[in-house]
Amino acid sequence: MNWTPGQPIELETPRFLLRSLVETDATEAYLAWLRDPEVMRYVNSRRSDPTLDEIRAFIRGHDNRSGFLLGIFTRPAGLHIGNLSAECHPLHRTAKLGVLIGDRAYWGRRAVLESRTTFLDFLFGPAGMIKAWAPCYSRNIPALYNYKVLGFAVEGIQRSHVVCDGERMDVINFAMSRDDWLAQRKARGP
Amino acid sequence: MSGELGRARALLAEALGLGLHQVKDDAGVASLEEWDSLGHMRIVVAIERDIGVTLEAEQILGLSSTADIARLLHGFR
Repeated sequence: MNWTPGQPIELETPRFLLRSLVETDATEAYLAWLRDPEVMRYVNSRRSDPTLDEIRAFIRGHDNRSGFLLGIFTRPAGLHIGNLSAECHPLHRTAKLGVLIGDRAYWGRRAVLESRTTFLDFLFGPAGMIKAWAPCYSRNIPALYNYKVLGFAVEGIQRSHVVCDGERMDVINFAMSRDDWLAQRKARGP
Repeated sequence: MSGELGRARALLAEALGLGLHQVKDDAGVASLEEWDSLGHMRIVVAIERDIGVTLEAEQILGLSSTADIARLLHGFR
């Protein structure tokens, strides 16, 4: 892939197009995700009344150098169903991952597995990251499943670290090294 | 453990909306198409309902086959 830092990203998976979001992607449908308590249940940035201006500002905050925010769009229809994000540390070459599948019709349809695989190929390839990691609420069972299936290791547990549904909850920190990812990809074959 | 294996198969079948005959003794994530992220959540909820205990994340992460579920159930006997 021919990519230079700062340039918008476009990646393809069998079912999805992953591309850097632009301000015009801040739509009423996107806003509706952020207002859906079920969608936002395990998201740290959840708030009571988000606005389209806040979404636009959030999108502007990702520079395609150290901050990536990719929309997951169905192919060929182009329906925006969710986002992938990464905050990259240029010195340590680590990427903190995030994901949101806002369109509930795509829950349980392996959209995260498929899109994250291609995103990790990018982060460990052209983006030059050495390690990817992600915090995960301990009762976010679908997310636990997705990290496990992709071969992430549990690096630590932050006990009683966040509040969810009025109760304190642990956060599980998952991690994947570039070496482990490449070995896994090689073992799986093309 | 054989009793737990039967219970594990029944739990899996119920959680994933399958017939008992579709869940073999050696069934798991790799062999059951229905065992996706939402399926995993349904399995955990079914187990927790059965044993009356909320599972820890480490236990949830340890579930990827009928045998894993049977071992977990055995531990709560």
